Amino acid sequence: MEKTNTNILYKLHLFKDCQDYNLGLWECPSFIFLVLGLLNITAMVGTYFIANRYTDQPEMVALIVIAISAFIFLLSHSITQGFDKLAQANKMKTEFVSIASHQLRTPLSAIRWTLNLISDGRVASPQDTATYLNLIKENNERMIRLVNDLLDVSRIEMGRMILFPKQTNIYVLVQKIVNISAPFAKANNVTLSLEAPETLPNVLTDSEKISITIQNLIDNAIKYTKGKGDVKVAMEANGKMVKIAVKDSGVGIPALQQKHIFKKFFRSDNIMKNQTVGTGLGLFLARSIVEGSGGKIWFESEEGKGTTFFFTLPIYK
Amino acid sequence: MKTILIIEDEPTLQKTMSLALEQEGYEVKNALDGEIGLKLAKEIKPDMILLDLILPKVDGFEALEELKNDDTTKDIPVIVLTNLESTEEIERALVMGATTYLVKANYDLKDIIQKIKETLKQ
Repeated sequence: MEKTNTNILYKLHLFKDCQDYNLGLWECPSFIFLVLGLLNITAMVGTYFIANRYTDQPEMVALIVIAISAFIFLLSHSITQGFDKLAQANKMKTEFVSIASHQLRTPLSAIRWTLNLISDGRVASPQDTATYLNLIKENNERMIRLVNDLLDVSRIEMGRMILFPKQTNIYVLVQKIVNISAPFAKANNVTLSLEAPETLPNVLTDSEKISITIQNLIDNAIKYTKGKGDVKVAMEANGKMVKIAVKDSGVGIPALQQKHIFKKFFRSDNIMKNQTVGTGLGLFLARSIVEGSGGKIWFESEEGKGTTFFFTLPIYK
Repeated sequence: MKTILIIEDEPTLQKTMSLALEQEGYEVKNALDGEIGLKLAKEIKPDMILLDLILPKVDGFEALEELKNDDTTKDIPVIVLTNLESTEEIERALVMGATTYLVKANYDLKDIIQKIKETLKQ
């Protein structure tokens, strides 16, 4: 019921700013001020009539005035909260821009310096040139990934992330990703394996977005297991859902940081010690995509022993 | 031959900077995190240190503090080479004793080499 109300009010474009900031109607200062004004007028007129009618009961009139004041007080409190939320949203945007530009600067400098080497004639053999051109390519791809992730984040925050769920053979999809990741795993001395019945039912999800999610989870598992260990991907049908697990024997997530793990740009408790590879957006996006598909995502982790990320996707009926 | 220690965790930046400096005739040592950086600095006493700020294990500010508090390393000029650029960070690094503060993305290799040469001459 409230939903339709909201839509009609939003259609009037009166509270468009609040919509842009993803604020609910009862958090929207301009809406609450309007309610407050109307309430004030009604209250005054009402009190006048009541006071006229019950001239012999001043306690009753006082009580009504107190009740109305209390309600106005509550609404004002709501307004302050709305403003707080707006201010916070604004602060987050500023931080977002600052972190995003810093993240872009690293590959940008890498490309600039590599180009410098080549154009200053510091790279002699064609073989070396190929190596450095490859570095440019890698950093360029990193920038593209980052920009795509940033666009997805901004879509999610504006509530405009659109998923296109369709019937997806999750077995084939995951197997493909595992095959693609095999060289990366090998380079990091990590054994990557897939454990799943071929008879796994199809799921309903946005196959493109979920591919990125699974790729991210596997990449993370390999990155944080670096050196020696194994990463196991397992899938099983469980009631109406397929459960997918990505288990690593890596460094694990420190207990204190676990509750922040799905927040955007969160990569460590101390930003200065962040590893520079990675965007800090992967898990934030993973959660939005999995939840947008009607599934759940969670993890179990112990420092020094490893981490397992689980998520579920609905079986296609 | 003068020795330069590069403390930088980004492989491409470390690789390109090392190659350019080696071709300029410097001996270059690399450290991929702050901890190894500090250890190398104390061991080899380089003529100059290029220090990134966002580093694994020991970050650039912590490393700078330790370098400047240690009598054996406090006179080595440190050029902070980073992509962070708030006034706060620049001021903090300079107050802590960094010689210069350069934003990586704003300079070509040859400009940075020029600054290194100028600093080494002083």
